[in-house]
Amino acid sequence: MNFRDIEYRFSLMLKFLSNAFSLNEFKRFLKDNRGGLMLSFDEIHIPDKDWLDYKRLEVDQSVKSISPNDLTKEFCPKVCKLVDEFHRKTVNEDIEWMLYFDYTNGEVIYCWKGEKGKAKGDFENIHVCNRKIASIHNHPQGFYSFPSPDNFDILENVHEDYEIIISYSAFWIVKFKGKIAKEYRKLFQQFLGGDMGRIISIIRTNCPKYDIDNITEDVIGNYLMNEIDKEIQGIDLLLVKKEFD
Amino acid sequence: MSNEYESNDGWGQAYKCGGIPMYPEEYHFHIDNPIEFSEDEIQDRKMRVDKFLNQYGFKLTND
Repeated sequence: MNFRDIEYRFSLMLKFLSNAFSLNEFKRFLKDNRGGLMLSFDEIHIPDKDWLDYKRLEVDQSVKSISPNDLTKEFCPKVCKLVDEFHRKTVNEDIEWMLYFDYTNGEVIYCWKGEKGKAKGDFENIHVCNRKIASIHNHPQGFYSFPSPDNFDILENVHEDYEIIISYSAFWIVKFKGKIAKEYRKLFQQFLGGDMGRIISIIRTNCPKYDIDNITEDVIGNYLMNEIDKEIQGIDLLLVKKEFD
Repeated sequence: MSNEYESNDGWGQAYKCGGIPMYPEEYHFHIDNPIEFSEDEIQDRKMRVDKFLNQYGFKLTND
């Protein structure tokens, strides 16, 4: 058991002893293993363990900052700061982190600590349905910066307007306000998966090994920006890519 | 993986893939119950990609 576990358990006991909970509420809280929920309930903020771990991540001051001008004007100043901080905290991580936040006020709704290559967690619709939600997650080193076909689940997520993807070399913003039916989302992803697979295969067959990753970043980035459909079922799909120099 | 959203009540699942792995790791896109395409659709898609790649000097099509 490390210090973080001790502190987390101690905070739970304090809340219980302070009579902030009824016994039933406390039992429900103990069974809550979905992780990530940051909103306070009963006006008492309960820090989630993943959030505690995230807050304790080191901030790397050496990396180039993400300025508000790099982001959309719909993001409030607090969100711009959150995005920049997320980059600095996760740039050296070998696992994936994910936040859901309200981009009009910067309030973090959920925080999930994932593993190398993916992050997932459950959320209650009631916490996202009346908010303007953006997600942010990182692609650890060893993974390309661009969104994978799986990163276009946003097409079916009515609650998610923006998806920000942060990596070591660049960040991407995927904007899609609305929702398409599952079969169209799957069709889009299946086409994209096939296209990307073919592009990667041809690059790996024809290019020198030392250059494969740079070429792949460049070519697939270009493919996403210029070749895929940018209007899907009448809804605009916007992709933005910014490289860190 | 999809995130089901049925109503204001209930639950959804957030899932974010951490990206496509760099060389030399292999990449295989998987989707549950993939849609069956005709051979013509497959070839059209392939030609579209190859035409795009021509600009990088791969010369996969005659255009």
